[in-house]
Amino acid sequence: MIVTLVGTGPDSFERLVRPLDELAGKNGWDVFIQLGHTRYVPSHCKYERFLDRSVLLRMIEGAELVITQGGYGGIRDALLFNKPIVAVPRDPTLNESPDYQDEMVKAMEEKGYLIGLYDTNQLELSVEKAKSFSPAARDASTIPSLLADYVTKRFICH
Amino acid sequence: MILSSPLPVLLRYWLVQGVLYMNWMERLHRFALEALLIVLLAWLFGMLGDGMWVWIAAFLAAHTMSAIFNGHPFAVLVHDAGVRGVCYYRDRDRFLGYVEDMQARLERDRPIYLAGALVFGSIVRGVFRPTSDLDARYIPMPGAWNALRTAHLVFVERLRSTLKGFPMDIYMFRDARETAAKMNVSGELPLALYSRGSLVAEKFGKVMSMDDVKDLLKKNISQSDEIKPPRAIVVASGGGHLAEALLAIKGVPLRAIIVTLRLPHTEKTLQGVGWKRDYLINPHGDALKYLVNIWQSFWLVVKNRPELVISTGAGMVVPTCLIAKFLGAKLVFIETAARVTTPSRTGKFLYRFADEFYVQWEPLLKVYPKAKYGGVLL
Repeated sequence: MIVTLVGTGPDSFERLVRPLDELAGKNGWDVFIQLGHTRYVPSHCKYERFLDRSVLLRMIEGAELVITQGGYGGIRDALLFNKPIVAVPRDPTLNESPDYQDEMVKAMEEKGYLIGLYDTNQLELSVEKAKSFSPAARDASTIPSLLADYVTKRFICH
Repeated sequence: MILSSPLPVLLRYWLVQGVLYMNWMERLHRFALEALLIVLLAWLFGMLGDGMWVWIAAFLAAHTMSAIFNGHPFAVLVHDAGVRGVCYYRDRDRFLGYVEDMQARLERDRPIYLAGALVFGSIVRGVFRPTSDLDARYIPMPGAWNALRTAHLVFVERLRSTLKGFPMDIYMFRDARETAAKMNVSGELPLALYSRGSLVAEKFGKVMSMDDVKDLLKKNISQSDEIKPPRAIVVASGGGHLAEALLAIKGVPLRAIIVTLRLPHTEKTLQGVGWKRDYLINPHGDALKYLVNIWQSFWLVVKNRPELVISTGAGMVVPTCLIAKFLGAKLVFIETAARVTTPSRTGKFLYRFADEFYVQWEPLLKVYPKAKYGGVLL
């Protein structure tokens, strides 16, 4: 199954959901979409507006591929289970989000964590590519240990 | 809660200035000094004008000066109001260094009017915290004249502690009876900083020496259960920012309270996280909602007295971060992973106030030269 996350923000993301729905109808894909506030209602995909986090994580665990908006949350949840990811940045100039998402998607694509998709007409191609994609190994962030060092030095051992 | 927040504590302190606690001899010394100051200031102000206001202004100015120079402003700020970051003596060894200097001065001068000098409070229980203050009590030899001179010595020590920024409250007690009435002497032995002959031991029974106190403190440090992790407000808007913040504090020794937006899914995100939580309103650029956010932030800071505020953004965290910082907390900002080469507005703005600043992508080090790079939180 392809699990699709468009986030829980207040903006619609029809640019991704509509072509995905059409492709699902055409190719008989098994697609689930967490739809959030997207106004387009898919007819060939299963969907829920909002899902409990635990349920969503279980769905991602069972997915063969995750398609997500370019937000941090969805990408992180998919990486948690080492799933192939197609990330589609929302575009603020199309009123899809308050912030640009393409910076992070491009940077993560360079690291080999995911496949970035910037033109949703190419969705079918990206999905095909993703079937043979596995995300690169990730370095652990040192921020928690930097923070722990700071707290220990500043507040615990003077 | 509100009575232990900084403003009411300071106001109450300004009004009363410990006078209710003093004995009559010390009050006499204090009132005399303040009266002198009032007359002096009234004479000065009198050169600028005349009438009632000269005396009112002189009183207000003199009373405020007394609060600063003949009071214990740092003990109030650090110990009573819990304001962090105002005091240089958060360090145990520096704190003890100051106490040893006090002792050295007494040993050098050996004032004939002084019977003894005692210290009470947390450090004689072997506990030192960054909010500790020193409770010192000087006891005169019998007789009114000795008491007045001791009151003056106490005043000088008070003045010195203020000029050095040391959190001390110091008073004169006439005798062992007054000490027993005003201090909790049954639960703890006081530290004897100074004794004329064996007078202190005779009057107060068993007391501790400086070395005893140091041993006790050392023992407790090694047990380390007295060291509590700092209180921290971790503030982030819902969704990705909150997820990043939770990852950033994983394994960090904190007593954290998570502050975020009340969204349908935040309760779920926070399930099982185990931290206390609180909520703010999202202003969304609405001026009125911004005021509500500022008011909520102020309360949060007053209520939780954070020593540290940690944030990943977005814009709705700015009031909380600045109010906490202004009231003495350290500010740690983590630029969101969504930013790779260009700064976020919130990050750019809070950069100049932050004590620690972390970025998740290396190119941002060009924008934030003082930041530390730590890689993406995943």
